[in-house]
Amino acid sequence: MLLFNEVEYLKAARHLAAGVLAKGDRSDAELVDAIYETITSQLPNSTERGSFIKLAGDLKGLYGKSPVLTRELVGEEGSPNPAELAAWTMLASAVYNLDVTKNRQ
Amino acid sequence: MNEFLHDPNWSQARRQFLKTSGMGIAASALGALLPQNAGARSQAALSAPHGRPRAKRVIFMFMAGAPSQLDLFDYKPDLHKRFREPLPPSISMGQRVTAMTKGKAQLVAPSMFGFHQTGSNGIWMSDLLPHMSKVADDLCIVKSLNTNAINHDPAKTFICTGSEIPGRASMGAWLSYGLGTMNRDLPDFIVLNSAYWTGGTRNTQGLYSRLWGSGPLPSKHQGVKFQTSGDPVLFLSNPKGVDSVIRRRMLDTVSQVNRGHHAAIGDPEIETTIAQQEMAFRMQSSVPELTDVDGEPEDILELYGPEVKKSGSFARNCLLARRMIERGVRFIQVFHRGWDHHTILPKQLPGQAFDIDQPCAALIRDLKQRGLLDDTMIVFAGEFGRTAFCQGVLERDNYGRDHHPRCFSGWLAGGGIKGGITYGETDDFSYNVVQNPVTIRDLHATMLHQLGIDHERLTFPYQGLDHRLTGVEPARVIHDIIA
Repeated sequence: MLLFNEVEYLKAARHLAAGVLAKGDRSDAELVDAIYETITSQLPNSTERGSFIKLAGDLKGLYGKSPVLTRELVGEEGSPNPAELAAWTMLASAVYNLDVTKNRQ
Repeated sequence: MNEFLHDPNWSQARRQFLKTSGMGIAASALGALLPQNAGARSQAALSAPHGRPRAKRVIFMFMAGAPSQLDLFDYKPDLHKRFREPLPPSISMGQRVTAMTKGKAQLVAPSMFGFHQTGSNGIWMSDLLPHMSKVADDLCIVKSLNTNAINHDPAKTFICTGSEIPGRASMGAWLSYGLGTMNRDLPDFIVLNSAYWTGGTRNTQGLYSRLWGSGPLPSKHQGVKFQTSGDPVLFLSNPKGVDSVIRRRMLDTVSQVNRGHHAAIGDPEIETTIAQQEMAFRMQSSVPELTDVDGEPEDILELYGPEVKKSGSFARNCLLARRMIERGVRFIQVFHRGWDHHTILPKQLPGQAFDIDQPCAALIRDLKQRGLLDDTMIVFAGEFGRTAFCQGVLERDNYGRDHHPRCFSGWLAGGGIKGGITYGETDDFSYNVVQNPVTIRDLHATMLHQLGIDHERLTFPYQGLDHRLTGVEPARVIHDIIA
């Protein structure tokens, strides 16, 4: 619950997402790999990669429909596409909450 | 393989074993052979209940600091004739005292508080407990509790976990492990601390999470402590920018990936993680509903007394305990602190008694009127008792009492326990038990018995021992107090 909801952890996720996005035009698969590898020091397997790409797509849709939530999550950061940053922030937060992350396996 | 995964001892140790033996590659190969549905509940747990349960739930009122039995329950009127006399050596028998009173005169301090007889059996009770007095026919007052430890930390650890040595599983954790859940939207074991108390804040010890820890049991069985202000459970609410739809969507992927990981390596702690994360999500709606007492009618609030309107009060926690019982929480531990009255006891005790008197009586009545007292057991106790001799200044109306492990009083109510009785007797000075002693282990064995558990059969293999709440020394179920 701490990892899910505490705002400093979320800031860390946002910072990571912003850093990964700032490195230029990359596919969702590459972004997932970059976030996953930064957090866990390993690459996701293909099933995991697929799950996270789908999650990223869904989150982009959800934040795209809700500018209010997006602003609450990322503030003025992430222009011109703050929903993108919001989605990748939550994706990083998801990776932070994996058992592999918490137990360094 | 299946058997191995279901064996808690083996599977608990597995992660550690694979890590330390450098079997990373072998581990994943092995993992591929393992079944995907590793047992959520252990074999030992599946064996309970062993007998017909009389109680399904427990509320443990823990008076941290150790209330004086001499001023509340164990009436010794003859001590007034012995005011300031030395405690006879035939009574004290050279028994160990704390470093605080070691080598000092042991002068008798009679209680300055009046006692009265109450209930159909004329039980003596302190005038400090007028509301409790009215529910005496529901109480079984045990005057012969005794413990091994003479200082707070080991004594608290003993009564909460069955051992003075830190690290064992607590009572609530054992019940969660042995009996499983009755409401998947709430934890099996909830801890409620009182945010304040009335009897002064000198000599107040901290409470520590190992008192409600799971020890070697899977960590999902540990107690969840509710906060007295803000979110009842820390970080329960979603942060800004996350709503329940987004949280649900994110959690789906987290659980899915964790399940894949669990299928690969079979570590039961991953199951705990998945279960806790899913539970956290459900608690985001179940807990606010649970802790919102606005819908409670005025007559119920009046029953619990004026303090019930203050968040974090013992009274509020008693009301919350009732709401948890209604919702199927297995074990609720309510802590109330500030009972360590080494000095100026008469100034501090009335406030403490005020805090707990009306709410305890109200809880008994409230459960009873809802038909819940029959299968809910309430247990009230501190970690030890207090000395008949004075510590510090001794006047008729000013005295203090040191720690005393050899006898103390507690009470039980509901859950198939006889009401309107006392059990056990102490000597004329409330110094040693002279009849029907009840050890902490006996108390635990009796509580488990009422829940349908044979205390010798609810075990968990750890470090080469089959651990159990009552340990390896003898423990007996007190059948005399069972209805």
